[in-house]
Amino acid sequence: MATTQPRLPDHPDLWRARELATDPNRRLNSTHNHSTGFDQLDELLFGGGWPAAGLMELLCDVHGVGELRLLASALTRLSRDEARWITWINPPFVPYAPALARAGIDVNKVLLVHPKSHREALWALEQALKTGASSAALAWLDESALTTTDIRRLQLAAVTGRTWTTLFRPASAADKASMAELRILVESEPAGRCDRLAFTILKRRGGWPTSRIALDVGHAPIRRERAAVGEQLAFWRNANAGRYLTAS
Amino acid sequence: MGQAAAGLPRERREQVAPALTQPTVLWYGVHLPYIGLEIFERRYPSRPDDHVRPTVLMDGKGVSLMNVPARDAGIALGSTLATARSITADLRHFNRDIDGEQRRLRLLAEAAYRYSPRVAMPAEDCLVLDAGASLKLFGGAEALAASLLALLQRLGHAARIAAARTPAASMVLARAGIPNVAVDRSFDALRAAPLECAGAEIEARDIERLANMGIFQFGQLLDLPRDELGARFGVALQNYLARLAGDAPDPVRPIVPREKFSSSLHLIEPVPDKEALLFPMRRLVSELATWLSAKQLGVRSLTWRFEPLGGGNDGRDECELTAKFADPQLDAKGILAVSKLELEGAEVPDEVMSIRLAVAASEPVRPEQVGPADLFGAKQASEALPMELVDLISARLGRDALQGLALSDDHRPEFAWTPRSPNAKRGTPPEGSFHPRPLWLFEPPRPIDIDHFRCLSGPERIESGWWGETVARDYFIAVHGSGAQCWIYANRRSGGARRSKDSQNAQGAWFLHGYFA
Repeated sequence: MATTQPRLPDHPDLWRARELATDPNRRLNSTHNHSTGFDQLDELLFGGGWPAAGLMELLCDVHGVGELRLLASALTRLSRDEARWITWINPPFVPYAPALARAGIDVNKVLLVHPKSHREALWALEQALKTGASSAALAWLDESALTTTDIRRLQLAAVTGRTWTTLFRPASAADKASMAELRILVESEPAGRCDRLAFTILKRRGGWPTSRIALDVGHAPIRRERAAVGEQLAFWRNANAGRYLTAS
Repeated sequence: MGQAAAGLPRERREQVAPALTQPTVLWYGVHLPYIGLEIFERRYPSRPDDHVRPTVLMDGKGVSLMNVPARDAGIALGSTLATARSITADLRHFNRDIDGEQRRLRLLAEAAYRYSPRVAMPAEDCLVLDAGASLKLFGGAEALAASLLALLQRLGHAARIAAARTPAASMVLARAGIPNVAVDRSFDALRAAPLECAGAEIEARDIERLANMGIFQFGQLLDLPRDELGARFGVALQNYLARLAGDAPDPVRPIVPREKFSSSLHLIEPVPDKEALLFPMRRLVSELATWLSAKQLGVRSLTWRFEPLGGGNDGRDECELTAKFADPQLDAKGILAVSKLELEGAEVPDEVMSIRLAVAASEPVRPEQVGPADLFGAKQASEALPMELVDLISARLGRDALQGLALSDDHRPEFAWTPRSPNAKRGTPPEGSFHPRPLWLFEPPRPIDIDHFRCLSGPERIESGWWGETVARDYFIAVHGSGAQCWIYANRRSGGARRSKDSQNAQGAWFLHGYFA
């Protein structure tokens, strides 16, 4: 009798605090998450990568610290492997096609949606997720109008449509509750190294929040020597000054 | 001949024989006993109790058709409307619309075209189709009949189906309600059918004369010598019996499906709001879907037209909607979803009386699109799925709200990409090497104060576009004080300023053109 009864500790849904996301067995078992392309980050994430069907938040106040490069490796693989769209809802600037192509992303799979209002943006995002027509979705929503219920709906839609969904939010959203399964705060590296960024995992499955960690995301190769750059700059500063001189 | 065959080796002889077999001829007779009433049902905004209300159809001579509740109430065929009303007060009645019935029958015939190219409408309440050649495709005679029955039910019609060797016999069996008899024994079954089941083929006067002679069933009639019957009742009856038994050819005239689809629905009660419009729209869309599947077409663009009370003769208050599809669409659900979104954003007349659906553009579908469901009934993630998203979003947000990206071969950064229609066929992913470029591009570039930036790399000189907007810039990769990695440039000469008088072209001015995000 005792042998037929399932023992509670053996139950597959039971998660123990000591089994962190870094547990190699756990990582091997769930192979369906999208590897981030950064080993250092993969080791920290549940299933060894970005959630293949779910919602994550990237909290970031400054553009241009490498927040897209963080996603680029997984986007590249998705754009090559899947016929579905990579949907960008309400991007703040123009996603630059030559740069996407350089990163290896198939620009044919990129779909930009420019909604006219927050309601339209939410609706379009939910459709993009729940129809299952997007392999990944990136969204910039109006933070003042976004509610916890909206995020819950988006999380459910992302699971339904098997879409890796990333919401970009300001760093101040860290204090608000969210149903997203992964929340990462991204900052520039204070040392001013342009090939690095710093991230803090605020929430993740199968693990505790982490402290601030520096990550090498690489950069557009810097070919010129610093000296040459300085020379050129000095030249232009002078030219600039010269122009004003002749103008006056 | 026999000798020649005998001279062949044995295996060869066996090979010759099967090639000569003809596809079986198998006629399905489809009887639609209630079509006269059913064409009115679909005009009504549905009420939950409609199907239990007694309903009768009136022609010049009185009640000509009624539904089951009316029969249970005790109304007799041929009685006047006043009599019927006195029996049950809660009576709906319609005046017979023979043209409407014929149009509807024609539409059903076209829906049945998917089973066979030989579909005909030889009587006003019957269809016949020769599905002998399609049996294997649809999984046998019974499966085909069940599928046809389900199709008719979906279109809102109750039907009886029977199979036989001749079209005339199949109609008699269908009318007699002897369903799905094995074809080999269909002739025996026919013998038991009453003579009334001949429809208009035997005149009512003759049926009565035969009844007076004690002949009530086809078996009795077929046993009589045909020539003598002809002498007595006319050659029409003689010919009919010959066709029935298959002794004489019965050339039916198969329908040819329409080249263009257009169907309209005239409502009996005006529809007040958009939600209620969806119900009749669904009916029209399901008609469209059967037409598309018969023609193996997908719709690219269709037009809805809503006319208000009063027919909209003066062109006032009418409303036309156009729904466009990125991929040829043949699925009723997808068509309706996009139409619904178009409807939400449109101004529709307050009281719609008439709805019309027409196909503006269609094209053949690829074979893999025809069977959209996989083993588990789920739609496969094929090319069709992404296009449905494009349809959905553009129907609600407008076509300008969607944009794809494409590369263009130009050195000037702002011309190196172009927006592309997401409907366009996807090309192959571009290959090749590219210079370092920012993932975010500013349009237009923003003027900056260079003192806030620290340059890391550069310059990259870009000088091009003498034919249009001349660009002569030195680009640098720089870090802003906030930590953002930027793509900035300085204008190298004021060449363009002569033409455009634009501050952007002033020599030495610095601009931010993108972020290395």
